[in-house]
Amino acid sequence: MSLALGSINDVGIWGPLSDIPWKYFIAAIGLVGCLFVLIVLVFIPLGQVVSREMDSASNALRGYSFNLIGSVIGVVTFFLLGRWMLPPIVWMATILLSLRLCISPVQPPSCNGHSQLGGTCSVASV
Amino acid sequence: MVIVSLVVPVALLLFEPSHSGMKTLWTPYQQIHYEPEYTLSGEVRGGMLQINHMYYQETLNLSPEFLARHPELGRESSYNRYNLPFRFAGSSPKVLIVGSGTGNDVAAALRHNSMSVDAVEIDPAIIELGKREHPEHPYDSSRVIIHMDDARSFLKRTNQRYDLILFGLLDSHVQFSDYSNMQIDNFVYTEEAFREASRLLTPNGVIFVKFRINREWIGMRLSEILEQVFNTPPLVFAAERNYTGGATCFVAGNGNHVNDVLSTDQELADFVHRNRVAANAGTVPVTTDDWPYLYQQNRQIPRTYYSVGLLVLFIAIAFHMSVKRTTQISGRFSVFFFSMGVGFMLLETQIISRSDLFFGTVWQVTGFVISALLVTLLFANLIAERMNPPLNRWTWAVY
Repeated sequence: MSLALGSINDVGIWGPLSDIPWKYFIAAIGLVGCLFVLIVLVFIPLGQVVSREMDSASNALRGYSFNLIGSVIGVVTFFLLGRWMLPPIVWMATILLSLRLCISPVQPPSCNGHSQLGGTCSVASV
Repeated sequence: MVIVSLVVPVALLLFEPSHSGMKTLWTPYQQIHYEPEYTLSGEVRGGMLQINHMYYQETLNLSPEFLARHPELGRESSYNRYNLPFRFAGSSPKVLIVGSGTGNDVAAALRHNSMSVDAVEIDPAIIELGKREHPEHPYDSSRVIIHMDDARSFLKRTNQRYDLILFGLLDSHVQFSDYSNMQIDNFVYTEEAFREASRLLTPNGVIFVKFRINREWIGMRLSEILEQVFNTPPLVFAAERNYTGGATCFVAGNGNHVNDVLSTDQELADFVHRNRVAANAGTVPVTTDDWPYLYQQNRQIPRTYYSVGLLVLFIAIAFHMSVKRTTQISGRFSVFFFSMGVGFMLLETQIISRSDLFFGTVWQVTGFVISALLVTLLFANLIAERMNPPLNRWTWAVY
């Protein structure tokens, strides 16, 4: 995919690939689009949860502060995963464990079986 | 369906096509595969290193004893890319190698009796691989000091002087800095970087840049930068390739030293003449710290970015229309939230790319910058919650 994306010669990272026809470039762009959609799907259930929690919070600003604290913890976790050079299976386990913490034991009406399925599939796709 | 959705992508992600002897490492920058290579008689001759499944470099045993035992590997001359730089340096030079990798250039420096070698490599895993696997064990030498640092950052900070500064095929290959479109080697090949390097040279010091040129204009650009820094065109020629791979070499130095070397070493002068590479300067924009895009021909946004950007925009609009049609959400556009998002991303990416220039394009920078921004926002929230300052036109005026 990278080779085909590089067939437009504006950028010279991938070697001289002017012989790769446009159809490969277009196919690669299409694949990028599919990856983008998959990434969007991953964030839909997370966005739903955040939106719901923000709406129901008595103090939205404090909710946002907790969101920021969680983000800092996420960055530190990312930092440690990089520092210790851990493999993807640990990244995935960390993500799944974090998601488990996000899922509350009582599901509100908006979070039905379809969105759970979507979330599970999306995470797996990543 | 759920099982397939779970199993297939995870299996694809976690599957590692490895076999005995192959090592897989996940460094802060990239995935590395390392596989030892053997001679016909079964002796380890080095190994091949792949980055993200693409060939990156080999560890090579170029010691005279090893090559004498294995004539089948082919004749290695003093004109290969590892030996050539030392034809331009004096005897017992003080050497700086930026992008020292697993240690082939360091081993060459030691074979050429270098007084001291400062080896700069950004990736800790590659240094460890070199220490463990390189057949000549160059990193064990007491004459070698390893610096785990970004090349540009080291050039800025060191106060040493060198007879030879060697850019050892330093090439990030495919690595982009997180959150910006900088490659991690972008600030290494700018006019300012070479000026900083030139200030570290002794009076007869030489800069030797080795690069795999895959576009003619990249060679022109490097040549033009060196000409602007040293006020004379560099020597540009191809190294001999045999057991080792090839490279285009750019040589420049203080005063007339490079020409003096050629006038006293006729064999070298003939080799350079035979293998000269035309790199007519002045037809491509040079890279600077303000525009550090070595792999980009002209000062414009590449069409790949336009294509992907348009596609993302199209998909976003399609998603938005779909949500509007199937739900009761009004979907009213919010200028306020849109501006907040644009402002935050501009701030974040700009700080990261500027910090890369100051601290080096090391992986920790992104983490520090994002953490710092988040903590700043957190403090702002705390102040807003505790003190509840008035939000009026004067507040916006202060902004």
